This record gives sequence, structure tokens and C-alpha cells, in this order.
Amino acid sequence: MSNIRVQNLTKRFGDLTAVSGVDLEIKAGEVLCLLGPSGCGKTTTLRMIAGLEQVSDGDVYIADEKMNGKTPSQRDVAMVFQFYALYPTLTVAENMAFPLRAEKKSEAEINSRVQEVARALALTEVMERLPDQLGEGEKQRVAVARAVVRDPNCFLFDEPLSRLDVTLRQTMRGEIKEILNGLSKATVIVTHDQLEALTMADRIAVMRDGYIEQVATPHDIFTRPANLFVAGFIGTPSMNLLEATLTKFQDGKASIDLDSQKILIDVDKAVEGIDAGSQVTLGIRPRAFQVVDAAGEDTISATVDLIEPMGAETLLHMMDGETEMRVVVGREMKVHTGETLHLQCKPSQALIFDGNGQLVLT
Amino acid sequence: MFFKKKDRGIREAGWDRTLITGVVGMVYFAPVFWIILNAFKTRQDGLATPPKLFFTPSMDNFFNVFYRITDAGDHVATGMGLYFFNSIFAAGAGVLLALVIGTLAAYGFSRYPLRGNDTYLFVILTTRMLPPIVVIIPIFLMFRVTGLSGSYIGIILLYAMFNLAFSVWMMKSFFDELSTDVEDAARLDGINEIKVFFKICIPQLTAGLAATAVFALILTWNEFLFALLLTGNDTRTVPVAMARAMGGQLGVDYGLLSAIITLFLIPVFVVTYMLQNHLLRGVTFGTVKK
Repeated sequence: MSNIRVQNLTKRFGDLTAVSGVDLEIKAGEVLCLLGPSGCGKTTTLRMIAGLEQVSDGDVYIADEKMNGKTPSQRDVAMVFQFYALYPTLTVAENMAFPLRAEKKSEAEINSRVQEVARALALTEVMERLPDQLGEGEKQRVAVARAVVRDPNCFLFDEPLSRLDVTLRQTMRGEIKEILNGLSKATVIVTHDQLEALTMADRIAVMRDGYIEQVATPHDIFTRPANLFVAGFIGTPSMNLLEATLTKFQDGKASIDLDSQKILIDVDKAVEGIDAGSQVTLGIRPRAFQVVDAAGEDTISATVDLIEPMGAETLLHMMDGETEMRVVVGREMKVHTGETLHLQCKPSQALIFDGNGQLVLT
Repeated sequence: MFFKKKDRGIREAGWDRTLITGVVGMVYFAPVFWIILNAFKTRQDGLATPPKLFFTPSMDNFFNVFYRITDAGDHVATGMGLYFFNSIFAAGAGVLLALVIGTLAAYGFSRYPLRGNDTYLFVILTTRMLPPIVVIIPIFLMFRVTGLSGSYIGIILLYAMFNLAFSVWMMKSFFDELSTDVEDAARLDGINEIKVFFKICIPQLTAGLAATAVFALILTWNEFLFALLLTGNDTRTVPVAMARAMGGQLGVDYGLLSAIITLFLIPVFVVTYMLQNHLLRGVTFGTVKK
């Protein structure tokens, strides 16, 4: 089985702890995205799995075999680097043949493997070129080709698409996903681009400051972020997180005191467990609102401060007293700044985070 | 203006700039040109005032570099052939040794930094901060005690040491420019550390190696002081022999001296010419963003 398992993975650089106690398991055929802001330890985690960094603590298992202390080549993993890391003095064909030559495969086998992968990745035209003579997209494909040309235990990608322009990124995202689908290997992709993670991953691990904040499917990460950090990090425009006081919970509805208004709102019934009068955070996605005609006990009223048309939709920056809110409405809706809108939260779209910033959920 | 103004941007220099550059170049080249001309002149032509630009070339000086005619009319070898060999051998071997050790050391300093890495590098550089004359006495004594004085091994070791600091510093800056990701990729592709160095790093550094070799070679080729004191009759290099050739019975024989210098220029010229493409890339390495 080509799976990856890390337990209590920790990396210290002097006094700095870059990765603390990370536990992850990636099954064969599964794609896990490590997602987080710069410097959160995601690349270090990847490099420890690859064996390019020694672990300070914890264990790495690849294909159920303990890999601590083993060299990168003994781990039999293939990695695609952020800056491609193609061998600059070798042609595309030689770059692709390199890992096979290192395994001392026969020339005939090397040739057929290289040709096969080159066809799959549309590289046959550029086989005799040097990396310098390739476009960004081609370099990326060569890097992927060099990784898939041999049959490794698992794949590691470090920010694979960050250097490509937007159009190319969309195409490559699809291509990589397609290739990975056919290989049924455990794959770890490091990215800081949530769209990349949401589209490519089977599961996402959100990291911050060396800790894993949440591991879940893209759907769960988006709809049920475990804490305020994940809630604010995932989704564009980001989730509205409103400071509030919980006054009452009854029949699945919570009465909540915002700065200047009260609202009665559908929430998870686990909120029952929170004492009335506690400070909580109300989280509502910008697209979870609908604009209604009249104010009611289940609406929030706010004034339009700034209008940003985004094409298919319009992003409104709204103010409720000192509190800023982002609301996305359809482009057909005509609004003007200074107008007061009454916003109703769509059913079961409101999340409550407790005083420690954790999602309250049954 | 007679010429249409071309659009701005990168283009070949106009005739005016080419001319100015040419004139400046001529000023620099004039002494070399004078020496080369002089080598082909007879003694009379060589000492003529004003200097002659047009004359009947003579190969006598070149003949005299290698053979001396005795009063009896016999041809006696001057040993200059050996001195040329000595120069090529000592400088070549010294530079090669410095390059090998320097490259290995630079790789270490760049990829496996020690605690206080910069201090070590600084200490290495201090070996070149003193003028050679300051260290010549202790080195001379060391060579006397160890018996290295006058031997090929001695002068080669000395030249290697002489170039080591420079090689380490220069090669380290080239290694620092290389992406370590490429080396990591090679490690993941399954090759060992020794192959990472030889198959991945070194092929990327041919330009840097060439540049370092040429600079070191030029410094070593012209070295006089150490060679004067530490080589013997059999291991004497050309600069020392040249100095000896200056004191003749009839005053300085400029023709002979010019012929030696002209010959002396050839090897270093050939090496530089052969490596010039690498050299330009080596010198500009890292200054142009890739």
C-alpha cells in the first residue's frame, strides 16, 4: 500500500518550532492538500516526509514502513518543486530519464517510459530542449513528468502552480488532477492558494504556526470550519465574523446581541450547551445572506458603504455601526451607497464559535 | 545629422562610440604592441628614435631566446625551453590543485555551513591580505627545513596555496547562486551525495570553474617573487629567467626581452581565448537575474 502516515511530526530550528506535533494519514489514491499562510510549516512538513529535512521528533511512515533516518532516495517518493528544479544542463528527455537512470533501468525501458509520459503530458515536441528554452507551463509539465515517469510510493507537490499565470493555472490544475486520479498513490500537495486546495484535494489540512488546525474534506472545511482561523482563512470573500453575546437558545434558534441590534437565528443545537450571556462569534459567509424587504427579528440591518462589482456577482461592504460586513448579492440587484438593507441569513448557514474560537457543533 | 536616429533600446553602438572605444583600447594595447613589434626588430631598429613602425622583421631574437652563440661559434641551449615548461607545469598544476581543493571546500562552506562559517571564510581570506614579501621569510625557512626548496612539489604547493583563498571565495559565490532544490530533486530521484556534487552541481558550474581558473592562472603565471626565492636552477620559471636575461654585457637587450615576453604571452592568451565564452558567463554570473 502506498500510503503516508506521520505521527507527532515536529521540527525545531534552534529556538523556533516550525512544525509541532503534526498527525496525518494519507491513504493510497488520496490527495491531501496542506494549506496555510506563508511560514506556517507546510513546506517543512513536506520536506520531512520527503526526507530532505530530518525530523526533530515524531515518525514518518511511507507504505507502512518507518522512514525516520532514511535518505530521500530510500523513501522512493517523487516530488515536484515550486521552482521546478529541472536539471539545467540536461535536455527535457534527459531530465525525464534521470530518475530511471538512477534506478539503473535498461535503456529500452527508459526510452519507452519516457516516450509514454511525454505523450501523456504533450511534451514530445520539446524533448531535445534545455529547461532554459521552455515556457513556464512546459517547465511545470516536465517537472510533473519527471515525477510520474517512475513508479514511486507517493507524490509530493510543493506549490506546484504558484508560478503559472491564471489561465495556465486552471489548465494545469485539471491536468494534474487527472494524472493523479489514474495513479492511485498517496499525494500531498502544499499550497497557499485555497482555490487550488478546494479543487484538487480529497482532504485539506489547514496549518497555522506549525499546528494543524483542521483536517477535513473541502466541503466540510468550507461549511464547518473548526475554528475562527479556518473560518476566516477559507473562502473568498472571507466569512463575516461578528462579535456577539448569546442571550437565549430555544427551539433551535439563538437570540444574539450584536453591537446595536438583536437577531434571532437558526443555529446548531449544540449551542444549547453554551451559557446564556456568553461572548460568542457569529460566522456567516458573504453568500449566505438574502436581502429581504422589511426588517424582522431574524434580519440584520446594515448600510452599504462600498460596492465592488465582481462580474457575476456584486460584493457589498456594509457597515452596522462599527462592524463591517461583506455581503455578496446577484449582479442584477441595484444598490447604491448609503442605502440600508435588511439581511436574512439562509437556513442553517450561521455558525457559532465559542469564547475560545472553536466551532460549536453537535 | 546624416544618420537617421534609430529607435531607443538595445542596438549596436554607433560609429562614434565604436571609435572612442577603439582609441581607448589602443591606448591599453600600445605597450603590448610595442613589445611584440620589438621582438621582431634587430637591435638597431629597436633602439631607433623615433620608433620604427615599418621594418624588415627578423626572427633572431626568438632564436636567441633558446640558443646562445659562443665566441667559438657553437650553439648552446639557454635552458629557456625548460623554463617555459616549468612555468606551464607549476602554474597549471598549482591552479588545478587550488581549483580542486577550492571547489570542494566551497561546496562544503556553501551547503554544509559550520558554526561561524563566515569567520572561517574570513580567516581564509586573510591569507591573501598580507603582501607576499611579508610571508616570504617564514615560507623560505619552512621550505629549507622541509627540503621543498627548489623542487616542483614545493612551487606547486605554494601556487596552490597562493590561489586557494581566491578559489574558495569565488567558487562559494557560484555555489550559493545554484538552486538547492535542484540538488534535492536529484536526491529524491535516487542518486547519492557524491553524484549530486559531480553530476548535478559541477555541470552547472563550468562557467564559474573556467572564470576562476583563468583568473588564478593569470595571477600565477606572472608570479615573480616566490619563484625567485623558492625555485632552483631546474625549476626556475620564465619571469625569473626573464629578470636574469635583463642583465647582459651590452646593457639590456630589449629585443631578446621582448621576444621572451611575446612567447610568454602566448599560453595565457590561448587559455583565455579558449575559455572566453565561459569567462564572460562566469564573470557576469548572478549579476543578471535569471
